[in-house]
Amino acid sequence: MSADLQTLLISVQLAALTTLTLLVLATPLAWWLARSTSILARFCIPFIALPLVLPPTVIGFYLLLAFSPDHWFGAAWLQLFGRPLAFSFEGLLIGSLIYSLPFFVQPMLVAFRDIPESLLEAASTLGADAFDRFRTIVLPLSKQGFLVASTLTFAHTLGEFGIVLMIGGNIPGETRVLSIALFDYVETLNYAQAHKLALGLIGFSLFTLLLLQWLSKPGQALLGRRPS
Amino acid sequence: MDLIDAYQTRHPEADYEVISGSTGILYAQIQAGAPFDLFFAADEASTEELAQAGRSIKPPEIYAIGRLALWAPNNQRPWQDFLRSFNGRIALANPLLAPYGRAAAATLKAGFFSQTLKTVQGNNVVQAFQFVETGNVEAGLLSLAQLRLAQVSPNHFYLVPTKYHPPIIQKRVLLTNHAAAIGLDQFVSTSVAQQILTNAGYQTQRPNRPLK
Repeated sequence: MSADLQTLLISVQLAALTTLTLLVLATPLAWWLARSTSILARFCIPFIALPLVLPPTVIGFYLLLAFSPDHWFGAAWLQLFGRPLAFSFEGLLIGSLIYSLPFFVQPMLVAFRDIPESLLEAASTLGADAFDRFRTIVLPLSKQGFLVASTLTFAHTLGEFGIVLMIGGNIPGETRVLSIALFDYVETLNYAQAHKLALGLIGFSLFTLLLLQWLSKPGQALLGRRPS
Repeated sequence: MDLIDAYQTRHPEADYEVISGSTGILYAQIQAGAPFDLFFAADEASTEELAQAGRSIKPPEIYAIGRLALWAPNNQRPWQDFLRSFNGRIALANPLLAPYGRAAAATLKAGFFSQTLKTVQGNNVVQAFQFVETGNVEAGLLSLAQLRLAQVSPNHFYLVPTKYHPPIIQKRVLLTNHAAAIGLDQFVSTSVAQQILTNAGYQTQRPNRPLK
């Protein structure tokens, strides 16, 4: 397997796992944030949005300190799994989850807030339990939100650089991702290889944005969303 | 840094701004026209290439020969035991970008450790140092100068014998004829400056005998 292919594979794995994990963990979080009127929920939203405005180096710096076996978090991880967190794929995944969290939660918040409370109440009176209501009302009505959130998360993770540079360690087959390989090519003046990766990333990003544009077109039959 | 301080106590009118980075990055920036006056590289090739590209106003000169050191802050064992039995990950600078990384990679390849180790690469030797300092990696192949600067206890590092890697010859090159740059460039060759460099963890003479 060529080095670039291996790098691509790691990048795609990281992006896919980040998206899947957020689908499972951040969906309930977004639901709670969208429906709850508590002070706590309102306080949580800015914290989740923090990675949007912080330089990735800030997150990378604190993750590097937290991952250390000298720190309780890194020590606990080492105790539990027998291998350190920094410079491992798992470490990158944790970094990506934090970094991409707002890109998942924000579109989901919008989607969930759009669901009228009255629909859920009506379903409840008709005897639908929480799971039924989620499956038959929430899921179809927020399909577009899920698609946008997942696409954004995947694309954003693929383009991640600052955090990976700080907690990755550039290990082939484990933590060397596309953006790092590209950086190395540029730094070693290997422009031909750099162009290959850079143009690939530009192409993919454009494709993603076009997809997003198409997905968010209102009244699309594909999305199962009838104009109200 | 100490060199500049020493020069400035003698010539208070001279004022410098230090831009630091990995040699590869700075080299690329100078090739692209970055407005630097004097370039202290951690290798030989980058200054020679700048001179060939017509960016320098005089030939590059050696100012220091770097030493590689193994730093393992938590090691209690004799170093020979450590080299035989260490089984963790080792931090080094990216061999593609940094001369100390290249030397470290050569050292590993030459069998400095009895076993093959997993490496963790920092973007430059400073980042590799941080990997060890934060406790994320147990050991690193770093520059002696760096360890001296951080005042690491000599009990915690081991000088890598120079036979394990090609010498880390570091050259500087004068890029403009600003008076302050010329003054500092000349100062580096004086015995005062050479003593500062020796204290900082560099050799200043190219070894006459072939390196063993």
